[in-house]
Amino acid sequence: MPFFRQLYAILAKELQVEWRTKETLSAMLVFALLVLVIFNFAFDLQGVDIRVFGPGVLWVAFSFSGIIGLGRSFASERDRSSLDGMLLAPVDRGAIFLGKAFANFLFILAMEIVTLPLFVILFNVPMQWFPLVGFILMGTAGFAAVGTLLSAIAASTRMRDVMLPVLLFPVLIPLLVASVKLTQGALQELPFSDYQGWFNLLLAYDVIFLVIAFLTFEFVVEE
Amino acid sequence: MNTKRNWSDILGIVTWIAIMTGLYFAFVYAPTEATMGSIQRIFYFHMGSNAASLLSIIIAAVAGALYLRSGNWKYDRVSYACMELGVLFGAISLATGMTWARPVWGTWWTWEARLTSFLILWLVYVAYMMLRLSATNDPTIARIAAVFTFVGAADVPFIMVAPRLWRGLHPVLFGTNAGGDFTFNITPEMLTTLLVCIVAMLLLYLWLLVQRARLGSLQAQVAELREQYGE
Repeated sequence: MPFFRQLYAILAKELQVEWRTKETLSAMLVFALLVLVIFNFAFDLQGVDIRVFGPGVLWVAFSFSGIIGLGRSFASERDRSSLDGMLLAPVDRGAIFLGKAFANFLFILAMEIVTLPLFVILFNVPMQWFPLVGFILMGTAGFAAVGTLLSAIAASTRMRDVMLPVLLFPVLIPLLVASVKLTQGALQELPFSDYQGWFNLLLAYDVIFLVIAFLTFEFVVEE
Repeated sequence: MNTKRNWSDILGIVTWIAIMTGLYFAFVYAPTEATMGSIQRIFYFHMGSNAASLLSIIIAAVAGALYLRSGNWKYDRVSYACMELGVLFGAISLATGMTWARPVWGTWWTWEARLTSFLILWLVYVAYMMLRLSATNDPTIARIAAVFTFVGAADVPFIMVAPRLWRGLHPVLFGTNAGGDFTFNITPEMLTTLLVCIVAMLLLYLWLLVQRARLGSLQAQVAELREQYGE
């Protein structure tokens, strides 16, 4: 089977499993909403410039909620021992990784599509859609790539649910800072040159971690 | 085995001499810095541990790659030892840095670029230790730990750049210390002392690395014997 057919098969399987239960996605959505509400109480954001503080709130909601989805991605495979079946199938390890990572990207994106309008409504954000959507896509891509690899790593340990955030957040800090800065820049309608450094950083992060995760994935799942 | 033992003993003695020389240079030979006073002397040891801690992730990733290629446990033990020493030397570096910053900058901690970068790197080391401690079985943990060192090493450039960009957008000035920079007028004596101390700290690092890797190999032998004779 050619590589892209394999990739498509893995992706279709992921989407189908999620479509049947909708467990992970609904948990992610509820969690993201809760983070937004808690932030409102934890920091009284009335009267401050929401275009400066809002992006931080938004990306904390995205990343915390995204981690729930990423954690389930491999934990569920281990629980049902379905990963062994997938590894026994004559499928390229890279295709498994890309299928999984792309599925995670879509799940996180689905959560963001609902969370972003909620954020705009609840925090009364003057919205600038144009570059922001692109930045969110970029941030989500890197997040899904490195998150999928570390989810596979965490699933092989004893404390898998606790391990994922512990491993992922230190590595994710540059991506989160860059995403927050780009979101701030977009919301404040700053000229692109003001935050181009962050754009380059995020782009480089996406490319490097996608390549590393793709190349090293086979060592993580090998039995 | 025996010659290896002798070799590491010689390294130990050399390290001891280097540390003693470093102490002599730092506390006796080097002149007292004009504005900061004696507290500046901590800097000599701070730099060495800093360098050792930064090197750790790179050596660990190289050793991890060698382990994945060859399957030789020796490399895995070196990789593990490096990351463990990364935590230790990172902690020394943070502690000496904070001790220095309190009188000089007037604060234990500030979110200055270098400090922020270093703290994030230290968290990567700590995360690795957490990963190791939650091991289920050996071959799996060695492989995934090696992969994590690659991720950590690839993250280093971003960890270094991100806080600089972040600070670049929001410059924070504190005290009269020229934007909180580390630079001061260094005399030739100070430079010599600094080099001696860095060499001493790196030797200490190397010696601990050898000892830790040897300990790991002994632990593996004990585990093997236990299995053989049934506990």
